Amino acid sequence: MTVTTANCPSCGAPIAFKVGSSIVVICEFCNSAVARTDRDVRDLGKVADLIDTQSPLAVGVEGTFEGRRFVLTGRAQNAHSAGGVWDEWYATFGDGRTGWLAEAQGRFYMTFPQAVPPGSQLPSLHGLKPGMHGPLPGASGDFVVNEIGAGRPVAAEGEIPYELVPGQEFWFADLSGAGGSFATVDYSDATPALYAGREVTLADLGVRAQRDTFGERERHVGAARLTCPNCGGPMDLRVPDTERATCPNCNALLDVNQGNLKYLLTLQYRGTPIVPLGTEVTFDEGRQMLVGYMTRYCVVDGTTYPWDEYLLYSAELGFRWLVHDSGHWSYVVPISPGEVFDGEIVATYHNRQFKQFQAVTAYVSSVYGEFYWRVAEGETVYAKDYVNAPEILSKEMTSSEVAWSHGTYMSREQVAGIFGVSPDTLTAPSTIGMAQPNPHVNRWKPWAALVLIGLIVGLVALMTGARRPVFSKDYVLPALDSATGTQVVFADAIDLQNYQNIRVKMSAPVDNTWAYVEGDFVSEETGLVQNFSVPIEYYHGVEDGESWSEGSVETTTFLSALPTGRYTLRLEAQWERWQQPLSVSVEVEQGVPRVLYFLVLMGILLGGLALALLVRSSFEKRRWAESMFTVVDDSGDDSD
Amino acid sequence: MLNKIGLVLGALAIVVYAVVSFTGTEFGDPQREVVPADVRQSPGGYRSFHFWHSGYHGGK
Repeated sequence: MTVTTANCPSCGAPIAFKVGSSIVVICEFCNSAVARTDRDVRDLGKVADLIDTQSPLAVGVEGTFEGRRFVLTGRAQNAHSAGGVWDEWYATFGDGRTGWLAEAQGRFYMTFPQAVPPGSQLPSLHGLKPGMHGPLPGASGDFVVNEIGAGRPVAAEGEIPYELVPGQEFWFADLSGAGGSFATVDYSDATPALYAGREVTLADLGVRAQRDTFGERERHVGAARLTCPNCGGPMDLRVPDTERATCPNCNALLDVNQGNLKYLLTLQYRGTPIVPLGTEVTFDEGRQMLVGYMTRYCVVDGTTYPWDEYLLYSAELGFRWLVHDSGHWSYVVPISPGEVFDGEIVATYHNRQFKQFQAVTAYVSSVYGEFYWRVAEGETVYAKDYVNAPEILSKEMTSSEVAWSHGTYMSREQVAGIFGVSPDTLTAPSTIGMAQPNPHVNRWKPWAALVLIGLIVGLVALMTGARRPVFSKDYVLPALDSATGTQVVFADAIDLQNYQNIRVKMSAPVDNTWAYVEGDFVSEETGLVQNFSVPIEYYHGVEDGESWSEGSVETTTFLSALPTGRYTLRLEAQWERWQQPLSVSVEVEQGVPRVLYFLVLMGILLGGLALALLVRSSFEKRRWAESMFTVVDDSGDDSD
Repeated sequence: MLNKIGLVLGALAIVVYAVVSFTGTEFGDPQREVVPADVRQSPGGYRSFHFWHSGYHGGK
């Protein structure tokens, strides 16, 4: 039988363990962490006052997770070894089970203690590296190691389901998997402990935010006014988790520790954000405040490539980035590493494949404003970018952490509109951005549609043509009187239909000679005369041992349709060997499909299609010419 | 802009092709003429040698 009520061993105030699974309760009067045993209670030490992290949660808040009700019965604030604190809330369910609800940078993770199957063991702390992936015994699915770090509890309230010793450092590894799954391996004890669950939102938990500034009503980030320890000038802190801030008056870089400012150094260079820090701007995700600005660079083949990053903050969303590189902009959202399959050459995120574009060591060259980690000039990370325009995946790695983010390209005009400045005040792009949408990506589509339409029209025209013979006759024309003489014949009347072209085909047994026939269709009703001429010539021979030929014994000519009616065909012939008679065959057809016209049409349309594809491909080639990796890609990153 | 112009021309090519195909139109037709009524109504009309070689040349 464990103790349920007692007096605080430090101050004597009454304390109560209301939750059966609680190990420690924080004395409301003296902040002592009081642990219970079978017989009594003991003092584990005092915790500091809670830091205001502007959390929307509070002890006593009720919620639902996977259909089961819970109540938040305790909270610990842990200081991260790299700076900053995170909240860990303890959710007690009706069945006595306890869930760990971690809160950091506006994101929430619900995890539960997991038993490791017999014969299995969790990886050792030293056996893990950020970015490693694989299964975890006791948890389903594959996980990626996000971070390996250390923390220590600095503040707490309510009831804690484990022996919380204030200030006692513990090591942990955070891992994430697909579908928002999340796990933490706790290395506090000799045997690591596994906590697994998933990322959640307050809406998932059915929790209403406890601050009146959070929720449906637009929230404006409150600012705390402090005094710079270097120059004494006023400065505002706008972000609750700020670890680094710069003084806008003297440009001093300040360490922020629980609201206390400590002068570190005076920055030599200050960048120029496009609008003052503290400005609130609205992106598609919601209203955010511009709280930090930093410049970074990398060096490739001796050339320095700088870029700017703006840190945005809102309590609802946490942190976002707006990255500016050579006139190109990207809105960047941190994502869980477990959501990305990193195939090195190709990374996959939400079933979209991103091709590697560049991998560099990125340096911080200057900082301005507030940051949630202890940023410093010269800070380096290994950064790798993957592209599927207009989206970009970025991976940043240090020895203790791997972070992925997902960016979406924004045009200069879009950014200018959001910040309320003229586009002309922003740098114009001078090259193709790595995530810049290909403006020609869809231009082939209307051409393809035209090709399809042309094909259909052509096939209909070719297949429905009312081809019909209207006249056919062989003539033997007597010899001419002289070389300039002609022979004239009139054929029987023939009936022609309108809207049907006319093909006249004539053949004569010419052999290294010529014949020339002129003809007329003469309407017997209207007197309309359609003239045509048909030269027939065929030459052949052998020259320098090679045979050659020119012309043909058969010649065809096409005429436009004539009005429906009865026509007389008149033929007048002349030929080179005038002393000899000439045999001539005459055929007249109507409604003859014109394959040549169809081929010309398809040539025009396919030419347009080919040109559109060429332009698209050319854009992609110029994009990837900027890449460190040779990738032949003419897909245009078609996202539609 | 150039692409739009190209698309318009491409669409125009289809229209022209359709018109040509379904009306039996051919490009480069020789000129058409009309035999005057008095010629048609004369004895022998346009069948006479005189008509083709002295009076009317059929657009040649």
